[in-house]
Amino acid sequence: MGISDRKKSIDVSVNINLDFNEEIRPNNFIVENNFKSGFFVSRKKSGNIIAGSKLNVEGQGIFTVKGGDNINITKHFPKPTPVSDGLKPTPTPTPTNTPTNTQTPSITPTNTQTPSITPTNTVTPTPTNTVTPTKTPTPTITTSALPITNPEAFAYASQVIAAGGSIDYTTALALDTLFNDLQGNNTQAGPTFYSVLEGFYPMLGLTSATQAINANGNDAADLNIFGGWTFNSMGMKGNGINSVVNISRIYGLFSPYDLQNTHFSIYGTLPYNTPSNRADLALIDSSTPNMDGRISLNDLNFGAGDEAYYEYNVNTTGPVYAPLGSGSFVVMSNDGTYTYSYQNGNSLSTFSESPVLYNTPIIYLGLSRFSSVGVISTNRYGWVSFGGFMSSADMGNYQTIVNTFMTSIGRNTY
Amino acid sequence: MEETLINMKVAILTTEQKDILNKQEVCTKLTFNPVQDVNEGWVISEVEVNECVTPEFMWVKDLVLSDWMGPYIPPTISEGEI
Repeated sequence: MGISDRKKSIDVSVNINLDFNEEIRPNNFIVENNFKSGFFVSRKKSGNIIAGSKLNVEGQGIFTVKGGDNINITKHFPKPTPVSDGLKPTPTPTPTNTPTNTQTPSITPTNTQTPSITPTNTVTPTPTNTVTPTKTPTPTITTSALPITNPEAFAYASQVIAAGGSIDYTTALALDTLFNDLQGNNTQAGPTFYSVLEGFYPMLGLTSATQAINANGNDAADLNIFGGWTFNSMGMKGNGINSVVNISRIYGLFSPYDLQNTHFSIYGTLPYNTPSNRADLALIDSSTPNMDGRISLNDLNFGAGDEAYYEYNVNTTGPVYAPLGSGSFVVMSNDGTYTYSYQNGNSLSTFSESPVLYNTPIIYLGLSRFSSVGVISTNRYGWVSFGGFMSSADMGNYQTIVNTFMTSIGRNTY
Repeated sequence: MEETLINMKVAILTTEQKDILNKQEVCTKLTFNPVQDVNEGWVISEVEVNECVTPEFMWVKDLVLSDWMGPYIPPTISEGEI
């Protein structure tokens, strides 16, 4: 009998039901070559073998011989391997499934990670929500962190920030200095420069909302901005089509001398613009074609080269020529008898002029004398002011203060 | 020297659109200012179109832009007056 034959018989025996509850019974008497012996278990035990008999379990590889009275039992087992192989198929798959189950749990942690993504998604909106409040604190943080000790400067910076602008550290320092200088220096007539200024416009921030702000806190004199102005760190620039600004400060007819003891200033921050043959700053009654005063930067219409005008009583006295480039900072002022002017820190001229109102003008920037259309300035402005009288000496000091500020924030042209 | 005018774009308006937009808010502290071009047509500038955030006027962003051809000059204007 070969091993292969035994294997085949093993397949058969696998199908045998093992009943461990079955009562153990002795083997029947076995007759050699009689394979219809008893239960398998009985065979394995092979007990109660009558002396001198042989137990041969075909397929189980058990061959037992019991000797004589000495009970000398000799068992001959076939190669264990076939037996093991025969038993393997059943138990082996079980441990094989076990590793498979082991992998399954390892998937579970993976699934555990997946839900952890959900919390991550939950976290994501949190930063988003954090961003929103961040916008709100920005003005607060920026304002509180600014190195500004002057209360009016702080108020102005806060206004700019509240309108959506930002004030960097350098600009904050420059503002503090500017307000301290304006409040700490007096005109020859006595009042401080700050008191003389009815309106002044540093034009900070990058939008109409921030550059329109009157820095002395009187929002009734904020700039009213119309049309296609563009805004950047240098100020506001006209488009030559419909860009217009006015200030709701009416110089009334009821006060014939309302234009006396006044000053106007404008700082053109971008040289070499298209010449405007009207006015960069003008006193105009929109219902009439007349102007009561103006500063025209880079006006080519009234003289050779880059000549322009500063004057009161445009329609009654001859224009005053002055080489006002578009990058100029010009201040003109009148005390009722004389008109004084300064450009870029230097006195231009003084001439006799007593302003008389022919209209009820307001202040316009970059507009032709007709309030709707005409030749519109394309100059860029970085500073405008209006208010009370400044002497020549005052205007010199005033220009020094303002140009120091403009230099600090990188806007100066001289 | 004339670069600004050469490159400027405007949006052409009907008279009704001009009346609707006139002196209305483009955004904070900026107001529409329709003007007449050389052909007497009403226009607003590209800047106003781009900057507009007022919900009821967002239709201006659908207007066709064209080159600015220069302003309408009323015949009564005399340079000598100023």
